[in-house]
Amino acid sequence: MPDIRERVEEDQGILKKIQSVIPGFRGYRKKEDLRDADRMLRMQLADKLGLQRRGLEECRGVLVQSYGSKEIETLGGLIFTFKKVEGLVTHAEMGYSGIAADIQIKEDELDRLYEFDAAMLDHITSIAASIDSLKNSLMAADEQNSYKDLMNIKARITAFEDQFNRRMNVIQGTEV
Amino acid sequence: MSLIGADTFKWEDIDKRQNIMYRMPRNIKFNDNIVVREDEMAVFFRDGKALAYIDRPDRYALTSLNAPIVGKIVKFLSGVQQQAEVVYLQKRVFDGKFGSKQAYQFRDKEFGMVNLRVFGEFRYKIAAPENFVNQFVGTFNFATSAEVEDRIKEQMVILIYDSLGDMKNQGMGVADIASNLTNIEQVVLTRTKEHFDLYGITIDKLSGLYISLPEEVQKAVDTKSSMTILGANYMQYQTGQAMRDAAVNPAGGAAAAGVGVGAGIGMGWSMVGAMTQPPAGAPGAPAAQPAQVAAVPQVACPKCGTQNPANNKFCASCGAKLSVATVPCPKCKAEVPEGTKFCPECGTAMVATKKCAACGVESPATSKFCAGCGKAL
Repeated sequence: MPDIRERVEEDQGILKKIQSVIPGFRGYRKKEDLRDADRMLRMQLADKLGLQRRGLEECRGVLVQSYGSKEIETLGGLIFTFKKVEGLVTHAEMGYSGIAADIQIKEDELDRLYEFDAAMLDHITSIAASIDSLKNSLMAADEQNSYKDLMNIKARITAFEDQFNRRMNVIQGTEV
Repeated sequence: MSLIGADTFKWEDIDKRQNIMYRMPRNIKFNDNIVVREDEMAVFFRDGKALAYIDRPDRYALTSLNAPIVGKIVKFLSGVQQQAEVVYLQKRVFDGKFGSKQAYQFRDKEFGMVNLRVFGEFRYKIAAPENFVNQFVGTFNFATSAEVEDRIKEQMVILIYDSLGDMKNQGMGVADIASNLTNIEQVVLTRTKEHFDLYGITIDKLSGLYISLPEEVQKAVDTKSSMTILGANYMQYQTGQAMRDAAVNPAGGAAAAGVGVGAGIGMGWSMVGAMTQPPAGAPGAPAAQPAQVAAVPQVACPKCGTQNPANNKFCASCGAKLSVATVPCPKCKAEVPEGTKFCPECGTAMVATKKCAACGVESPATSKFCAGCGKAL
């Protein structure tokens, strides 16, 4: 997996390079780059979640063809949940602290934030596996397994959300 | 305003009323302070990016490139100025009301197609500022609570209709709605989570839910419950109602036709007996009227031969006494009307006789003297 932080640093334009050598601007520039790298990573995470959501929407298409299925409502709710989590990931806090904040967010914390977000990719892999399983169950008209897979996906996206909501507390070291 | 141009901002109460969010109308400078109160959240945007969601009450000194000297030099040289802004959000709960614009057609087992309307109140608050400010407010450009509520209202009505449909499929009828309002509230509340979390809104509470039935259906529900309480069928109930109306309204109806108040009351009382009988078909109810008539034993009048019910004492046609004394047949013990000479069952002579020893004439056993020769028997 490429490290977006390195790429952002390598591709600094002339203005950013000038800012990096001006006293007082260096820290600002460095933090801003780290935040941007994390934002790019999160946008990819959100895109990947969106991809999984589209998989669920395909499943919904299969269910709609057969009509009257009791799973369709659960699946609809799950799609809404995916949209919500996508929003949370896309617009999450970027790791900022103003002047004289109670807890300062420094460069190493922003690095940890990036790594925390990068680790969230593993969750998406497991979600993708569950959605594949759901597709197979629906194709086979296996109601019992379909329901099981739906509950599995729900549990995984909830776990993803719970883990993601912990990120600021974890990187600040304030989680109790 | 200080020497370096920084200032301290708060969400003024005058801007707060009925507003769920408020955008500070000023570009944030270096070291500008914002005050976040207990019932507020602040979102700090810099260059269009939401850097922080500040939900702890405090005074925060924010950073931007709009510093006193550096910022001015950069702006002078390049014409570029960093955009930094603050958006406040209210944390407190808001109350809203909803009502259906169009009726919902509920297919009921007992009453057929019934038009329902729903009304109620809800409480909501911002649960996820990330989604609310970027996906809800940002998309729809809402700032006042009224605008946000408008959006929620329509969705709430749809969710209630949807929930009613599901509960109907599980056996709930129109007449059960009133007793299930709390259940309906809970079902709807559960469903709101998925629908509104998406926008960063949580529906905190649903209250005062009222689902109105059309007047005629409400009347029918009331009638049915009254009938159940009285144990009467529809005809009995309606007749009783008509009698009561006639009694209380002497100027109209049957009373006006000459029946009079007293007669009305009397007829009403006579109906009470009928209504207190178990309704037809109910356990313990007598058989239908025609079968009952056929089952009553009939007795022929000994004088005119008219058929009369067995429990009549006198003939309905000629007034003759119907009750006939019987005596048991000395042989087969069958009850034979008094005066009959031979038993209709076995042919045995019903009157015991004794033969006169002198002349040989038979006389009744009760006779003391012979009817032929007059000798003592």
